[in-house]
Amino acid sequence: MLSIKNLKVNIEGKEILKGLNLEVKPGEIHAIMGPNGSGKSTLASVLAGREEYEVTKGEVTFNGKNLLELSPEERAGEGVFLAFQYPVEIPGVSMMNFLKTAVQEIREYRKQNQLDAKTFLQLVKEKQKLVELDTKLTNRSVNEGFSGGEKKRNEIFQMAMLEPTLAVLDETDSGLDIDALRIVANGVNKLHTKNNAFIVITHYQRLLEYIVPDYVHVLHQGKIVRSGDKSLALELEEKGYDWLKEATV
Amino acid sequence: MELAETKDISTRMFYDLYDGVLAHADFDPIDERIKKSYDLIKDEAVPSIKNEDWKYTPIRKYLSLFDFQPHISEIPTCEPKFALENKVTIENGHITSIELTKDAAGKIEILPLIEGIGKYPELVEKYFYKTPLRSNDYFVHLNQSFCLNGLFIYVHDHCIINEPIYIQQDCYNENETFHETHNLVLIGRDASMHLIKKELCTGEGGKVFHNLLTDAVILDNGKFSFNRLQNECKDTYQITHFYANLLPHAQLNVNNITIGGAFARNNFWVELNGVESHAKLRGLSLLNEHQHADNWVKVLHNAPYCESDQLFKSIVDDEATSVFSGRIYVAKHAQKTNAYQSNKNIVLKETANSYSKPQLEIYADDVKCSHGSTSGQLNEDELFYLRARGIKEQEARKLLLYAFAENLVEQLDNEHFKDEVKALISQKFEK
Repeated sequence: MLSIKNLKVNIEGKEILKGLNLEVKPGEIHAIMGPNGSGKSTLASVLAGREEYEVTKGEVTFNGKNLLELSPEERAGEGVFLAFQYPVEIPGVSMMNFLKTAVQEIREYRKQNQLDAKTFLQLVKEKQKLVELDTKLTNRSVNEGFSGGEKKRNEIFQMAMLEPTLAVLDETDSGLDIDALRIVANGVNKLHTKNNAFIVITHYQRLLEYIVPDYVHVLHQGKIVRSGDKSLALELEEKGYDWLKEATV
Repeated sequence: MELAETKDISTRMFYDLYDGVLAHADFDPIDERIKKSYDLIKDEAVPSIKNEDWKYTPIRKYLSLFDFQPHISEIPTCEPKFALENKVTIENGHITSIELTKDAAGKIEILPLIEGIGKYPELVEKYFYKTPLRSNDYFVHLNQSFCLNGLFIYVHDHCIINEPIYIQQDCYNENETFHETHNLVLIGRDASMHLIKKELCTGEGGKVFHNLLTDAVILDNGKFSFNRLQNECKDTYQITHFYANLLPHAQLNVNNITIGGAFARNNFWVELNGVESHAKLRGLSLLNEHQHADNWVKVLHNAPYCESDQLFKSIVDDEATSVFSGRIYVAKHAQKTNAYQSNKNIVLKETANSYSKPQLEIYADDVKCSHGSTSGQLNEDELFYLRARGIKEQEARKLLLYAFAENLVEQLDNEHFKDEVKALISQKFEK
């Protein structure tokens, strides 16, 4: 599904990713862990198509297509979804208008029928329930005045609405209390099928107690320095990231 | 960018246009006022960009585009008629109909200016031809020198006009024309009126230059809501003046939406002269191609316990220019003043310009005043967020621009007018 080969990425002239390789197949959950500044969020942003990041080398293919050539909106249409670490507040753009526009544009891209108003509202209701987002969305602007937990649930809610095949969760656990964490993880688990895949980027092992990964990768100084199964996460929790630094010196 | 001028751009040019106006006006009080105003500017040139108030708006350049032909202005007459809504129609500078509902007719009088002045000389003497003179503005004196045309609107004490008064101003002259209009608005004690003014041009014609003045006085506990849409064609140039004198507990609410027209300079001069009076001013300019809109605002707190709130926004595209110059003045004895001012601009292209000059002038020591100004591009993070959800870049930009305009449009207090403005905004963004 996703194949990243020898990916090198600069931002403002500084190399952040220094030859990253990753293969993700349908149905898999990959966790990417690593200390601050290792390049985790850069990877997420590059996959979603942020323009400030300059890819200097390597390739990223998604279902046979060169992902790097596509605009952010085309990537979303192809099935890539990024749950933002810091969801953006957009005053004046109503949640409902935003969702409707996004769903209809993505359906158009995927050559699916447009939803009628009734079906759309049913879908909103159903998916809101999934992430226990019980706030009234009408008359609210995108993420404006949402609490930290609500913002993260809103990301998972949007993911449920847009039905991606590859979802990248960028530190979705940061700033969540244990109840909110469970709600977010439950949402992800309910949406997980054999046809879609997840890349879960996290600093802590905590989230992985709820979303159980098939693979755990450790990112350090722009490269994956170790890969393993979920037990690697536990090892990291125990030893911290310091041993990595020693190992790479 | 001052063009080389070969023309005489001075009061003389306008006097030639109105040759005979002075002789024509044999009506005493007006005659006197005309002479007074004319004497103040008769030897003056039109302000140039060296004048601080006209720094970003080359008014001489705009005037040099015109080749006015002299004509004698007629004093129009028009009888009010009963109708199902309150509506005044002004075509090519002349009032063509005044319609009032049965309910409104007993509460409000809408008359051609000269008739109003003739009917209520003592009110005119007491309240009007005062505030505008204090601003000592060239174009105000010009307006008062020649202008016999306009509306006299008087809402009687304790009268609430439930339905809005619509004023539709339309220009479709075939020749180049110079219009002057002078409106007097008097809101009585405990009275209230809602005015919706649409400035349009329905036919392609010659260039129009409009010098329009509205002088409003709101008596104790009166309320005046003024919603205005400037949506003329590309051949319309205008300088407009809005003066308001607020007496104790008076409330003023102005929403000024500029979408069409080649050039507009809008002066807002609001005096809070009575305790606990309240003024709210909103302006939105959506400009593209070579449009130029300049909102010049002065709010004067001359009494204690008053509140004023200004919010002016603009979106400029192509080679368009927006200017905001706003000043809050707080007199020494105007304690407990709350005064706010905010100006926000989005500049879409490098060729577009936005100038902002927020100012405070405070002589009292127990006040809350704030001002702020931002100019910039669309927020890249917001744009990326929308695109990452599958929304095409162009559509995402439109959503964000609309959102920027939205909170101002949402404050319009008439649903029909709000819908009309919303539709015009989306139309403009489609381009």
